[in-house]
Amino acid sequence: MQLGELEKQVLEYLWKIQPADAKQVFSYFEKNRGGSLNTIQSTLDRLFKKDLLGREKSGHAYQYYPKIERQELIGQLIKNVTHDFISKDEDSVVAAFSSISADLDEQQLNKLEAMIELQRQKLQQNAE
Amino acid sequence: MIYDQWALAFNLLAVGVLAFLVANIFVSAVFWSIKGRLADYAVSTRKSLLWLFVLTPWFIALSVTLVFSPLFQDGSTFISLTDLVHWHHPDIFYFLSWHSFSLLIFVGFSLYVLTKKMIVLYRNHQQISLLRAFGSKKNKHVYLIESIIPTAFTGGLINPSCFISTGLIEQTSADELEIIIQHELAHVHFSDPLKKWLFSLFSAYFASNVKHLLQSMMSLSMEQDADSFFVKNQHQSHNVASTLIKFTKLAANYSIHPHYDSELFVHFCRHSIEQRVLHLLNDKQFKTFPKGGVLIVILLLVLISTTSVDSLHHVIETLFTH
Repeated sequence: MQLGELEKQVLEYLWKIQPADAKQVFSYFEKNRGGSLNTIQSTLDRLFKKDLLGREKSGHAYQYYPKIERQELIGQLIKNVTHDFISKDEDSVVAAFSSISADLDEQQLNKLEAMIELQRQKLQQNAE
Repeated sequence: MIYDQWALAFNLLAVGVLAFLVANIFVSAVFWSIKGRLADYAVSTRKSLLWLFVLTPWFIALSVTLVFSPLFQDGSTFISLTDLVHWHHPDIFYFLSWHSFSLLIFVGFSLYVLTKKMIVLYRNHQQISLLRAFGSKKNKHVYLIESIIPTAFTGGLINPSCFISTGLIEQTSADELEIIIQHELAHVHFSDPLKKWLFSLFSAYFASNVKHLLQSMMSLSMEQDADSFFVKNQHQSHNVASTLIKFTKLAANYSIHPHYDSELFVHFCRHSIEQRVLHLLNDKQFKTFPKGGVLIVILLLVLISTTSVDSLHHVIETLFTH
């Protein structure tokens, strides 16, 4: 899913002030970056179609609200992207610094840590 | 039934498919028998050997197809070759024959694999685009993402980017963060996400256990290569190893994938991190690329595949008339 700059800004605005209708969003962006009501309306519609916004009819206008909070969305994206890596999945296309899991053996990690420390000390002794 | 040039083309494709299957079986057997010895080679050599394993069936299929083509089958120059291997009636192709079915199965499977990989690619592209949109650009290749999850990864196939979370920055020192960023930049330098995708595409043609082992080995080799990319002395190696352990402990506190707690996965993780740490601490001399051995094995595989295709063809056509 691609997000244009205005789409991103509208989403950021709605994360702070929600819910809002097209006119409210337009009045904010009119002052800050210009543009027309039509542009804002179509941006809101695109975000709705991308399933990032929900909307409810209130009178003649739609009230738009984000379907997912910012932190939650980023967390979900990280989870999806790194999922391939951790699941030993054949479709992995991400290279992560380390696998993310709570299932690692703490003892095993401590043992490795002690081994590194020992090597470090040996190196120091050799240098002296 | 079709004749002449088109029939020849279809028959050669059938030869290629048969040769690919035979080569795939032999390459899998070779890989399985030497898999334990691959750790004796330097990471870059191991990566080359793994690429060789997944690409060899394609190379052999092409070579065998050439041997069966008019280029080598016509005229008196290669008369002994024609005696050794040949394809019956290459200028006639029956659509209702085993040639046609094997071709259809191969094309169908290839389309299935390609579609599956393209979907993965599309989804990943969407997710990475969104992360770029919500992240702030730290420099040309590094994006900062606001999240409490301590994470660092590289994604994006054509123009890969590194993503570092604010959670990671808060919980690591400046030196540790630099090590992590350098590791991720090494993935960008090597174009690892694209290579990983291509490797998974080519390895999809192997049997499940061979495929998983090939992919795990390539993934581990890529990580080891990135670990040592900027390491110039043993002191730096120790720092990378310590950071890896610290990061793993940190990440373990944020279980975002709780459903992967099977024995196999735990073993894989432990094995992977253990291997990376041991590789960083190890200063042993690795073997060089076995040029002679590889050349002999490939030539042998071409010979075995060529004669196997001819024998299989004769057996099938003797038992059943197409």
